[in-house]
Amino acid sequence: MNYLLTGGGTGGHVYPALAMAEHVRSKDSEARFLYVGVRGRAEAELVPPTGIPLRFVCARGLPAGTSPAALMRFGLTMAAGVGKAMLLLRRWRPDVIVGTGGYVSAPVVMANHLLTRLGISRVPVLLHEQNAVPGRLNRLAGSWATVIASTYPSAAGYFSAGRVLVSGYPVRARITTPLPREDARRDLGIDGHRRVVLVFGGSLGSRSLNRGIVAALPALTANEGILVIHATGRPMGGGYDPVADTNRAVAALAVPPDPARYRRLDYLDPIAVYLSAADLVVSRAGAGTLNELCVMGKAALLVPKANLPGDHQVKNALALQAAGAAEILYERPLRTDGGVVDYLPPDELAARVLDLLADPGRRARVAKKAESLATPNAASRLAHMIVSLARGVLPEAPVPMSAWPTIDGAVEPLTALSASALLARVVSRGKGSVALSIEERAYLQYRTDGYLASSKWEERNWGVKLAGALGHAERADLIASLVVQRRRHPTRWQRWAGLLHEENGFIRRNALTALAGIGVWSEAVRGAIVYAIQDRYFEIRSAGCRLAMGLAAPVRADVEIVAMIRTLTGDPRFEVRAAALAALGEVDKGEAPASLLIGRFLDPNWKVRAAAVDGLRRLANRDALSPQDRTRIEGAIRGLLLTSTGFRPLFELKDSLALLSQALRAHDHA
Amino acid sequence: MLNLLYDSFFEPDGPFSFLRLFNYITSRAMFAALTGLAISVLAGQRGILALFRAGLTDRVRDYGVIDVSGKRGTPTMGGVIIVVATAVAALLWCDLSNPYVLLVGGSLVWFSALGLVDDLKKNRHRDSEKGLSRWPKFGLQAVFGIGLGIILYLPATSPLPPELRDVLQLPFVKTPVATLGWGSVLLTALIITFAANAVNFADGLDGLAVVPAFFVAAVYGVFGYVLGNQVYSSYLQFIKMPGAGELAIFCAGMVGASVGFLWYNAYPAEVFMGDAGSLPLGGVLGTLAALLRQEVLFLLAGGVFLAEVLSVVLQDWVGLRILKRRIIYRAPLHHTFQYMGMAETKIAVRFWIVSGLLMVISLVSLKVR
Repeated sequence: MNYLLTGGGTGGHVYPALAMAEHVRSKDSEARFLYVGVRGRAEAELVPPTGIPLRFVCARGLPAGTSPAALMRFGLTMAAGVGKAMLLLRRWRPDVIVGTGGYVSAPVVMANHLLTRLGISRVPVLLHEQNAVPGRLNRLAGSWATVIASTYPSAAGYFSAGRVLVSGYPVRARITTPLPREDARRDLGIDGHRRVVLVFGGSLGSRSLNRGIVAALPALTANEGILVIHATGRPMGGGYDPVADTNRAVAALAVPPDPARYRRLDYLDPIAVYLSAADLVVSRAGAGTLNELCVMGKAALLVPKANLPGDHQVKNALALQAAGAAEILYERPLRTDGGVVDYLPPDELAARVLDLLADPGRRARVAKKAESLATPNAASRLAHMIVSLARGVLPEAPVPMSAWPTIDGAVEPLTALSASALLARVVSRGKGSVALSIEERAYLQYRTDGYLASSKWEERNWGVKLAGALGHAERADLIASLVVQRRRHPTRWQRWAGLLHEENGFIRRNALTALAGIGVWSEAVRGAIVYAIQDRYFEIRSAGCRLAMGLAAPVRADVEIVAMIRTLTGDPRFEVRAAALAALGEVDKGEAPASLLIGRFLDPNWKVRAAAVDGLRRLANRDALSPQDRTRIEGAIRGLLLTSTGFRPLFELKDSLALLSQALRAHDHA
Repeated sequence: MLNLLYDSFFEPDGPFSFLRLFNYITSRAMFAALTGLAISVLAGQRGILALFRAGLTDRVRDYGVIDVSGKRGTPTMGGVIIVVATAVAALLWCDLSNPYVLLVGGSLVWFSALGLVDDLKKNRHRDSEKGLSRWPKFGLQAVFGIGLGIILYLPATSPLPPELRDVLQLPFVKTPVATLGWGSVLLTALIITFAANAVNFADGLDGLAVVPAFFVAAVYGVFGYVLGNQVYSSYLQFIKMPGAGELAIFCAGMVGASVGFLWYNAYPAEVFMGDAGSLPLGGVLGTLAALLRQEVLFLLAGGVFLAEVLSVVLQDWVGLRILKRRIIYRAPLHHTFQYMGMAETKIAVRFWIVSGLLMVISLVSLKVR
């Protein structure tokens, strides 16, 4: 029988194909294989050592945007790929096609579909979907497949129900057989007493993980009982060379790491030995890695890659975390001149790793839970199905559902929410009695960071609001910088329109409100207040006053800010005057504010007069007034213009109704 | 319609000599105003109850959060009352063979339908954002405007005197300032769309839209009467528009109907007009402006509406879209005053005073040219 394997791009798509091939070979001694991939990607490295012949077609990913040039390139590449795949299919005549996704398998599946429609051939297709959320091209290919096998139940919903089954993830045989820890350590030459942290970011390497772990090395290797084994990944073209970059970073450390405590490798071979020797794994959260970790029963700190389509690594990781089978450390997308760069805070990474290493009980619990989720015989069951398909037998009974969890932990309801819905949720939780869990907070902070790094101002605005609602103290300085950051090279039009700042007026105003929500005082926050009070935009001046009022304790000691707020009590905008007067009541003391506040008793706007009265009340409540001040204010009250153009109506009928509904509810509770 | 009685039965010395009243425009206008007022006041209470029973309220009642000073739950779509009362008054008292009456009646029907659909959609989804979306709404308003513009421009269909078909007239200027050609079609479409949306924006506080709207209607009623009258138009040196006097009757009916609506809509409102009221009011005012070739007069007489539109343009288009900051406190304009602490009643009355003043100035423009 002829088996055509296709799929790749990254190791996560290639390994399952190879795992299935291993098992097919054991069931069909006359099996012949052909692997179809794309030149220069992971399959070009990983397939030749297995002895399976490899052929290339061209393909590329669906472009994210709608740029016509990109779509055109995509269309032409795919057309060429489909043409070549049709020739290959006619020449090699497979009995079954096994696709493992990535855009690589799309041309082959599409070519087969065309040949079927033309009545030239009819080859069954089995498509394996690894992730919790299938990619767009795999969804399309899924509509042409005979059988779709998915790792997660959550992915099954994207395909038509009759042809999809939940199979788990096919893991290679050499991984499904863990070694005893001592044997593995002997093989690798590791002392028995050392605690081994295994760090790897996939076959192509992960820049943020590699840089993060190197920066964390001083903290980690300070402890002599720890060995960090770090697989960087191999350079595969593209801008990033993981080996050279990591070597540079290690060389730049103040104290070079002790070789007995740090080992750098390109990749882990054989991975099963390394995994068996490890006490803790720090890795990405691709479906392949997660399934290998489960089969090996390893405790892991997962660093899901941010901003992938559908955020699938984060959702994969959340599935494990919800089951108690792994812990998550989110990376932080940062906005730089060259676009968004993911960043892993080294101190946080070191703290989390040391924390887990110091708690063997917790590691054991997590590892045990992970092991219970494993589907070690997925590959063999899928191989059975592939062989049946090749012989023209359609499987009757689908493979039973695996134990693999759907995402149903506390965090799950949040992953589906938009920014505005998240904000509403956070605000309502803030008011209610149900506090956010640690996991929920971590996830919300991750989403916040993602929004803050966005290139769309609306999303950054949501990020600012979320950070404020969450009280995300670590971002206070970043948010304060949004208020003050000026454009380096404003165009003439921007100068004319007063658009002198990096961020627009809404974001800068909301940043001040967010800082009030966070409630942290720092040099940067102080700078933001000082800047805001002098800003040209009235809402920023008033938001600055409100922030100063919210941070009253430190502002009281700051003579400069208090003096600036005093000047705002004569601002041309009533909103600013009112905010400044109210703020003075909180941050100023003595006779000066009292006379300033009394000085506004004839302000044309009654809201300003009300703010002055309010400010005086605050002064009185704080005991910031001397007895003489009190007498003076009492005397001045007669000079307050008490008429106002606004009032609050009370509709008695609605009032009665409110009382009725209260009474009804009270009865319910009783 | 009742003018037919005069045509059929009037004889100077006959028993029906009182029917001469049914021939004078002034007396029919007064009857029309009284009819409109009577219908909307008398039918108003039942109409409001019917709207409430049909579930056409501003927002469904939620027992948990009863705002004792708020307005939620007030019946809406009360504009239907204005439209019905105006229509009945016009049917009874106007000469239904007059082309001006037919065109303005068509406008009333078109914009009422538009407003009804919009309100019903909002009500069905229980969300004021879920009405007709912006562009179809503008489009359907413009379709009427373009249609009317073509009718008024083409010599074969235009009821206007030939020298007024395609000119631009300004208040306080004696002679037309420009000949627009096909541009007059564009001008007609613009003024109608503008007026419809302007009244729609202004409809935000109790009594805020309806009073300035009937002041403008009164202005156009007087203009219609003067322009259609042989003596007055030649005395004031206007180009005479035979038949335009019937518009005075229509306007009077609308003023009466609106005053009757104000009976219930005055603060605290028992009913809101909704788009079912603001679109036909605005659409009809725009149509009147186009029919009398006094488009620019609307910007003066309806200065309150102009201010509301300008505030929205400034805040939403210049501020939100371009500068990404607020320019004025809130838009439309009446919300700025609310934000500044002014009570709703105060704002409404001040808007009335301003629009009354603008009405007087507009009427002065009849003579001062």
